[in-house]
Order: sequence, then structure tokens, then C-alpha cells
Amino acid sequence: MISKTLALMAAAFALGAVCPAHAKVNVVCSLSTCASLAEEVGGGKVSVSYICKGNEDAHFVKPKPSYSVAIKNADLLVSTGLDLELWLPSLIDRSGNRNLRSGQKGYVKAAEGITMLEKPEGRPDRSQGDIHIFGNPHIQTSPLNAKIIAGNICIGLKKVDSGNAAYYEARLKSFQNRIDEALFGATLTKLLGGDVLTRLLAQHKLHSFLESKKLTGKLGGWLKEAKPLRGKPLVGYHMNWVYFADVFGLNMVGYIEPKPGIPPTPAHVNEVIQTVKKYNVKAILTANYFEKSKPEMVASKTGAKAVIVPMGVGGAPGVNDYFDLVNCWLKGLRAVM
Amino acid sequence: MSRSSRVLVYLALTAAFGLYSPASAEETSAASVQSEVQQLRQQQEALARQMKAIQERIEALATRAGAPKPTAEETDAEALHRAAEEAAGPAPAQSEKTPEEVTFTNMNQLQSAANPEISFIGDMVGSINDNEGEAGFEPHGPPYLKGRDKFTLPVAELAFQLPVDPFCTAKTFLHFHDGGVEVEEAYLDYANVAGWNLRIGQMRPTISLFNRWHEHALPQVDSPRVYNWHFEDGCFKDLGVEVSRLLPPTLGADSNELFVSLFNGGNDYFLAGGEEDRPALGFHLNNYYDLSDSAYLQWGVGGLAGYTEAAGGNRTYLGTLDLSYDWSPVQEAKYRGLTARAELFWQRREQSDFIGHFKQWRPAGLAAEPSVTSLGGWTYLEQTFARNWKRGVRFDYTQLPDRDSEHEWGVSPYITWWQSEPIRWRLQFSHYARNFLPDENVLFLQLDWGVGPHRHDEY
Repeated sequence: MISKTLALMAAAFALGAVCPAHAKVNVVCSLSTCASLAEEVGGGKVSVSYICKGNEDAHFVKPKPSYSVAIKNADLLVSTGLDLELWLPSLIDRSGNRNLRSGQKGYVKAAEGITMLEKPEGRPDRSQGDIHIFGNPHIQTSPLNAKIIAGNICIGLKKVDSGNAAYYEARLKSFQNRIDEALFGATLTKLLGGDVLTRLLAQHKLHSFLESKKLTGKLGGWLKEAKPLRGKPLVGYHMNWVYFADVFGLNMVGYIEPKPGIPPTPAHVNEVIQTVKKYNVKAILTANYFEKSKPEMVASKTGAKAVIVPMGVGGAPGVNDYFDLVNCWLKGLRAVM
Repeated sequence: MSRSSRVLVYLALTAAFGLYSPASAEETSAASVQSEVQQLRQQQEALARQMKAIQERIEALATRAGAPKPTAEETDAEALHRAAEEAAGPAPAQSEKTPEEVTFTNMNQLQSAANPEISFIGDMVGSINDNEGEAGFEPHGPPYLKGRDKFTLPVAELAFQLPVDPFCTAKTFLHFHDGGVEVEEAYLDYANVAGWNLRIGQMRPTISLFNRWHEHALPQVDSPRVYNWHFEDGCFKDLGVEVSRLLPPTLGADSNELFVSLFNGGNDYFLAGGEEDRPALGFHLNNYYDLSDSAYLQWGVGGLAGYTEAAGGNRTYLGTLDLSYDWSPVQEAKYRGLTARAELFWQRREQSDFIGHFKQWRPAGLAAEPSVTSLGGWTYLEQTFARNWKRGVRFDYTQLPDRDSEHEWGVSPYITWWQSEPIRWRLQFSHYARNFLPDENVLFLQLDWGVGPHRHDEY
């Protein structure tokens, strides 16, 4: 009897060891914005952490040992999959978690399926600055890309937690619908559907289509809010905003950095001042991890305004999810344009 | 067919029609058509009734299911939707793959799919020395420490890196210098072998804070003086195996990482096992604490034990203790920051005579003490004060490992500027005070550049 009881206890212990009841899927993301999207999709079934904060430059993150500990204990790792987080491979190596390596079940490339912009033409080299050889990696600045990233995260979650696939799919659909309504407005989304609107917008046909059908009045959401910005010239600090500008129709006419990753020289800043005057630029859009002095100096000499915003979720007070983040960007620009 | 034949056929057909057409044909035909039209009309009415019945049934079902009754406005919406569909073009083909079949591949690592990642790092140093030729002793190590005014290229590193199979990655670092080509490191790196990471080949083992750091990644022009006096070339490298793993957090730390290594134990400056069966054992335990998002503290303890000489039981023991603090405010890390590091070396050398390079330098007749316990250490403070600019100062102290009565002090202020991410300039002044050789003042100008994907991770 005693031996049976012991055997039962041992079996129960063993089962408990390998199948923790109701254990959450442990997700680590390289960027805080991807972590926010993972929470949208994963809901109560996931525990999410991230490495690069919303007010931190993702190009230059110190690969601290505590990040390796987080990766060691993770079931799923989400990174852009591009040459942005060059500090990530060493953290993965140190963690010893082989399931999260490129190509493995627990690895998600957020950029999968996204049309990359600013792919270098010809042979890329450092004479063009710190360029990214697969295209601009700041993909999260487009709400259309956010839907794709969430979809990729959903695939990853279904791979490591197939028992909750329906749950993740339902949450993904709900999130994508909310993005559609936030982007196009509820009326237009109901009228034409998010998929069609997404395709029209991605092909830059949405506004002409709406005008041809006299439906412009039905446009709502972020696109309505950004309508006064369409075609307007804008200066950035770094080439962070190409996907944002593409979706909202902004015209990037210059950058404070002479080339990506190269600090501004006085001569180049003077050129930027001339550009701002020439195009009557109203806003200088800058991620808040860059110095404020240069944008503010250009602004003071031209009458433009420096718009300092976080690049990622959590990068400023009140920016708690992706919707807050896009609202923050648009609100900052609308206030000065 | 000939013309006469065609006429005959025509006549035959006319006759045939005549035979089948009675005199009252027109009246009969009209009545028949009317009858057919009547039948068709009845059929059409029947079909319309059926259609109406089906439509009513559909509407009834839709009402029961909660769907609103179609309106004229919605009919317009459908047309609009069709127009939008046409304008948007065909939807992209949906993948038929199941989630299990989808594989995410990091393009960052595809660079090495066909060929190794290849990088080159150049490290040129120009130096001006105030007691050129007076030192009388050229320690092993970079040529800029040999008391000459000249430009040198102490490190020209060629690095290769490539996953060999699903289990390990090959990493090779070749150093080119005046003396030829040297394998700085060449090892296979295995991840998670029974819970341990494994490195096997020629390498710099993790026995102290800086031993694994290549010269081009150091915060100053040269290695700390205690490294230069204790090890050949400012570091200890050897053939062997090293295992490491992240331990369950202990000592209140956020990360504890243990390295254990076994090596041939060969180093002319330090140990004698290169040609003999006299292995050396090393270790390092790193304890890391996140103080905040912007600051961390780390301390480590390490060491190495091996045989001093090719025969006999004399041994050398090395112990290290290191401490690091870093403050980099998250949002302003490009412009502000502070790093402080310090390391203490303790060494006990049992010897029957001076060894290696020391033996050539020590005067004949000078007897070696059978047991020497020496201390050494360094500390530096570095500030990031603008984008791409750092300044700092390092203090050194070391007793010589074979004669603890001889010692050297050093102070080295420096300033570093990154022209861009791969190119760095550094100006450093070093003053060395010794009780066994004349003091020395050296001005260094260092230019360091890298081409390719290899970069040294620093935290």
C-alpha cells in the first residue's frame, strides 16, 4: 500500500514537473512595442517581457546578463528578424536556449510578410552610414505593419501552445479589427471591411478611391486625423519614420543626421535649416532618445517646432499600448501642423 | 458539286417542302405558337411564385438568425464593396501552411548561409616615449610598450564566424603583426550541451574581467598593466575546453554565470605546460545585479592554477576579484553615462628559477625566490559626456610576478571619439613609475577601425 502511494506521488510529481497546470507562455520580445502586440494576442495566456524600452535606442542596447536569464526561461522570442537588434544573438547564445534560435519553433520574426521600404540599392556599404541591408527596420511605426506583426506573433504562439490556438486567433482578429477601426474609422470599416481598406491604403489608392466614390466624408480614425498632414513636408532626426510617413502620406524632406547613425555636423545642420525654410516645414519629428538641443535649435531658427515623441510603447507617460503610441505621434504632429 | 447537281438538289428540297406543307399551314402555325406562348407564360408564373416563396423563406430564416432585412442602401453598399474590391485588386494569396509548418528565419543570420561572416579590424597606435631605449627591458606584448617612437599596427585581426551544423558555431580570429600570423582564437561554440554551453579549441578563457576582451574592444589603448606583466601579449590564451552556464540566481543577483576551463597550461610568461602533460584549471563566477533600468552592479571572482615549470611540483596560482558599476540613463544613453571598473590580481608563484622571458632579462647570478606572492590591480572611471565622446582615467599598480619587491605604478588619462560606429580615435597619456627601471611617459594616438559584421559586445 505504501509503495503504491509512493509510486502515485512520484507519478503526480513527475507529471507536475513536466506539465505545470495553467502555466502561461513566457514571451520575451526585443522591443517594447512587439511586447505590447504580444499581450494583445496572447491575453491572459501569456506572460510578456521585453528588452529594449520604448525610450531606448534599439540599435545600441547593452546585452546585460539579466536579459540572457529572461531568454533562458522563455518559450517564445520575438525580434524584428532584421539587422536592428545586433546585440540579440550573443544574448541567445549565452542563454543556452536553443529553442529560440533563428529557424527554431520558439523564434518569431516580426517582419515576416512586411514590405520593406528603403532597401539599399546596389551594394550596400558603410559609405551610406549605418544602413540596414534588408531595408529600414523601424517597421512598427505603421499600423498596417502592426497587424502583420501581431499575426506573426499569433503563429508563434500557436506553435508553442497549440491547445489555445482558437483563443489566440480570436484575440488576433479582435486586435486587427480594432486597428482597422482606429485607422479608418468604424463607419468606413463597416462599409468596406478592413481587408479591402488595408489593401487600398498599402497601394496608396485609398484616398483617390474614396474621392471617386464620394466617400471621403466617411473616413474616420487616425487617417482622418492625419488628413491635414497629407503631403506636408516633415524633417526627422533619424530615418525612423519612413513607414509612418508612408501610411499617413507625409513627405520627409530631410534628416538632422546627415546619414543614418552619423552625428549631425554644423554644416549639415545648417543645410537642414535651409531645407526647413525652403519647404516651410512645420515640425521636426524626433525620437525622445535623441538629443533635444539640435531639433530645438533648428526650430528656433526657422519657426518650426520640435516634436519629441517615444519610439515605442512605454516610452513616455500614458503610452501604454499601441493605440496610445500612434495617438501620441499624431497628436504631437497635429499640435504644430 | 457541279452547277447541274446543285440545281437538282434545290428542286428536290423544294418538292419535299411542298409535300409537307398543307394548304392551311399559316392558320395551324399561329394557333400552335399561341399555345406554346401560353405554356411558357404559365411556367414563368410558376417559377416566379417559387422564387418568391424561396425569397420569403430566406428572409424568414435571416430574420430568425438576427440579420437585418436588406435595404436599398445595403444594395448600394454591396456595389460599392465590389468596386472597392476591384480597385484594391486581388487579395494576396493566403498561405496554406499550418502554424507548425511556418518557420521564421532571421535574415540577419542568413549572411553566413553560404560563406563565413568575415570581418577585419585594424588597430593602429602611434606612440612617443620619453625614455626611448632606456628601459632595457621589452616586455612581451604590443610593440608600443617597447619604448620606441613609431607608428605600429599591433592588431590586424581577421575574424571568421560560421554555424557549422545545427549544434555549434565555428569562430576564428587571426592576428597579423610584425612577427607573422597568429591564431588568436579558434574554437567551436556549442549551445546547451546538457545544460552547459561549451567552447572547445584555442581561446582566451574567462578567468578575469578583461581576459576575453580583444584589444580593439578595450576602453584604453593598452591592457591594464597587471595583464601585461602577468601574461604574454596582455592576455592568457591556450588550447583547451571551457564550459559555462547561467546558474539559478543566488546571492541576491539577477544573473550568476559560471565558467570552468581546462587547458594545456602553456604560456612562456606564466605557466610551463605547453609541451608537457601539465594542465591548468581556470574558473570565473560572474554575479550581476540590475540596480535600475539605467544602472547595474557586477562583481566576479576567478582564477587559474597550473604548473610553473616543466618538471617538479612547483605551481602557480592566480586569483582575481573584479567589480563593475555602470550607469547609462535609458533615454539619454547616447549622450550621458558613467562606467567604473576595478580588478585585483593575487598570484602565488612557486619557482626553482626565473621562467620564460623573465629568465632572459634577470641578471645572471640573481637567485629566484622559491615562492613569490604578488599583488596587482587596476581601476578606471569613464564618462560619456557627449554623443560618441568618452573620457576617463585608469590607475594601475602591479608587483612583478617573479619578484614582489619590484613594482610599477601607472596613471593613464584618455579621451575617445567615435567618428562613426566602426571607427574610433583615442588619445592617451600614460605615466609609469617603477622602482626597478626609470619612470616613463608615453603619449599614444590610437586609430581603430572595423570592416564587416564582427563587433565586440560590451555591457
